Amino acid sequence: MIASEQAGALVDIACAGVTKTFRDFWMRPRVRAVEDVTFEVRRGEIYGLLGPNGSGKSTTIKMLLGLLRPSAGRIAILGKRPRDVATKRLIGYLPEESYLYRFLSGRETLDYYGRLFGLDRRARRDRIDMLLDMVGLEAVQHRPVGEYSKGMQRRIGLAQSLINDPQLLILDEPTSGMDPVGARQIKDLIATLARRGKTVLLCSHLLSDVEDLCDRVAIMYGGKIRSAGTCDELLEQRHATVFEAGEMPDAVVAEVRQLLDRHHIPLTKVEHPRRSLESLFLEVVERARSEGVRTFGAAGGGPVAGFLAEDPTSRVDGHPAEQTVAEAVDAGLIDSLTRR
Amino acid sequence: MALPLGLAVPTAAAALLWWTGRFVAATAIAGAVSLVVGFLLGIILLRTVLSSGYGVIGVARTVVEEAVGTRVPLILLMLVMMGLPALPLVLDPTERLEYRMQFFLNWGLSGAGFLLAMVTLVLACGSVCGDIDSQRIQMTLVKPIERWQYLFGKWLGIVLLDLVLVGLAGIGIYAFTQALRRSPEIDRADRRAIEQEVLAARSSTRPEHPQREDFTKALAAAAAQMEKDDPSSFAADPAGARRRIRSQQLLEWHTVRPDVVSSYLFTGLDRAGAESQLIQLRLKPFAINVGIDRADVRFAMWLNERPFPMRDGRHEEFTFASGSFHTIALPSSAIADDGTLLVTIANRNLVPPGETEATGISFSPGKGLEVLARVGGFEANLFRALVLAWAKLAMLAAVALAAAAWLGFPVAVLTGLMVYVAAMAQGFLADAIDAYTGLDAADASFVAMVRLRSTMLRERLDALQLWEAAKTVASFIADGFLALVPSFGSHDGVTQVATGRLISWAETGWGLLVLAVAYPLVFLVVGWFLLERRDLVNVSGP
Repeated sequence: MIASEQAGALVDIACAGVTKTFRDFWMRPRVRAVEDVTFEVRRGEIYGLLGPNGSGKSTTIKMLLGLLRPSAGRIAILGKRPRDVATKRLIGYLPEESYLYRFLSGRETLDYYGRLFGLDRRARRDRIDMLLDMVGLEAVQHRPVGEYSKGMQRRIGLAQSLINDPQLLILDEPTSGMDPVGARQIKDLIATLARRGKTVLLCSHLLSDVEDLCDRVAIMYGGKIRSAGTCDELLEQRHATVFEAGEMPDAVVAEVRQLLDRHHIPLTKVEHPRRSLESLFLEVVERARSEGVRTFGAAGGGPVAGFLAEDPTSRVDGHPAEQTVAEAVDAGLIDSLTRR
Repeated sequence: MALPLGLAVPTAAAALLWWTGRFVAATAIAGAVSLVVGFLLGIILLRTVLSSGYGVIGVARTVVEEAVGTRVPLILLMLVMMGLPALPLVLDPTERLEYRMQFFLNWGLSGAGFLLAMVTLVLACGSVCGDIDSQRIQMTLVKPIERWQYLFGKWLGIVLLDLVLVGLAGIGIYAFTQALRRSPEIDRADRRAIEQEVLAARSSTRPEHPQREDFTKALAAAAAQMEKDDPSSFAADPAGARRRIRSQQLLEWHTVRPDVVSSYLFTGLDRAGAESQLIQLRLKPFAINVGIDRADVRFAMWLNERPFPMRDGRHEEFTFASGSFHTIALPSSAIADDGTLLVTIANRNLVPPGETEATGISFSPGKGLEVLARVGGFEANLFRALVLAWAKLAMLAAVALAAAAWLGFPVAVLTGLMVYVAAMAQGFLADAIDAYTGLDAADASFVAMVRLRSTMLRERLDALQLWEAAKTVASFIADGFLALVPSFGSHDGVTQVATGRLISWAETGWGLLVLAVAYPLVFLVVGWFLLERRDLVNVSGP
């Protein structure tokens, strides 16, 4: 049995009572950015971490990634401590901004991160080709990243986070700075990866993105989790009921109103639904593309990169992903987390 | 397109200058173009070498790309590439060619060493501090790479780049030295000096006392006498006291009193006798007991008890200006079969006007009296000097990375600069600290120095000399800092090459071990320790 398995589900991220206090040069406490945060993310789940600026989301993520040391509490990532190097082979991370070497081209940037994962030359070349096609940067792959627009930098940032075919993907504001087309592609990609068994921790200000994608969410404020649960649990409003029907003449509406009156149920709103601006925008862009209108910069993204679209039990660096996680589990660490 | 054009224009200019007879300027421009081309080829070579898929190699390659892609290191590199070809242009053609070549070698190697040290410092500090400040380090350290691997990768990239740059500087120095060698000499002695004293690798042999056992016994007796006469002073620093007695006895032995002969035994000259026809006795005599600056000294000499030199059946004497280095060419046939050469010197000074006795002659123990023999060529010697120069850069890179792992860019560069200056001028700084605190601890070991300073601090505090006590504390800190930094002077290749002295493979190997392995290991471990404990993300809240 895998120690990080709870109630029949694998737990890829487990945080228990995590607190982070930043200190000044003289080691005096300066800011308590995160306080007693406890949550877990299961295998194949899309988990949303929400909160306004300064609520502690990014600090929490950086502790999960081993970039910051928690002042208190425990963290297990894929059953291991966050600083464990072997576990990092299975993690993809997109920070809130794309911190890239400005002098490297898009291709060189992906090549650099591919090397850090120990990928051989052929694997790097194949994966980079697929990722550049996927994020629509094939045409500008030899331009220095410093010359990219913010959206293009986000795209190359997303590509680098996927180069190792990660089991766990941590995305901090993935759609920030992206146009609606790119944002839609990223949302589709996240959904696809989750269907393939990948685990996604999504941190975003765009609540509609989170609502569309996430299985469960946690809302942070002041360094603490204030509310957590599935989207249905948190968002369902049982005091109202919505019907959707075909176009209805005024006479039929009047009949429905009378029926509801008989049951003492007030009809508060009758209106025709509007399509979303996003769907209109995507339709306009798609029409322009089909007419062959040229654009500069990032092209429309291609299909999901082949090496990502494999079965979730696909091999990671020569080992089945499932097995790698199982082997990497630190039983003592997980036990200590589950006892809390 | 811009690059080929940028190279084609100066190449055409060099050709035009050559055609119009301005050979030196043409050579300088052609040299600069060659160095730039060499640099570009070197970068291609490094990219090929660093093409494998290991994390450390990936970090190393990114450092090389950073050096190429950012401007500050490139500007310093251009200074090296432009400075070297420009150096021959500033030499005075009426000066002796020997001095011009020594000047070029000295300044070429020192200047390139200094500029490359600055490149190394800026690149190392800029690379790590830039990663941390711009938060790029997050993107790297969330990948499967340890923090020590990240620092080691940075160091590897920098030292490999330094290897290319030092190699280019070496090729440039060698090429321009050969160009200078073909310049017209002042006279035949000038040409002979160039070939035998500059473009050569000469081993140096210092004398032994012919009666070694007697000399050792005399040292022991003098130490015993001092212990008896001044037991407290001797007990404070016995090793230092013995070193001082030895220095006094050596000076006494290197002093030739009027109408007295002194002998100096040089051993191990078998190889020198076999490889060269001429060997050299290099000496720096001082006239003692006389108030005249640069008074002449006069002496007669015997080699293995045969008078030298003999001319027309007469034993000739030497007359040299006091306080300057002089070189006497000796036939290697004078060396005995067992590789020994006994040099006997008799004082033939006259009695100066107003004095009652002739002046004595003294040679500084060490470089003041030595036999030099050609044992190798200039090329191999220059190569070894370049290896030592690279080793120094390797150490400096590790220092800069360790500083940058903890400090911001400006402070890290200043820290690296401080270590560089301390390493370059360690002897001078140690003397300056002693002079500052009024303590003569030049010959003392580190432990003895600590003991002496502790005693001095206690005495000054007892006497309520608080300012003097504070100076003693400051000297403690300064001495402690110097003890952590290696002396580049102990691994000097520049002076050796410029004066045609051999840098042995043993010295080179030891220099590599100390400067390119041991010290970098220590500094990288320190850097890793600091980086490991550092939070790499700052708070973004209030």
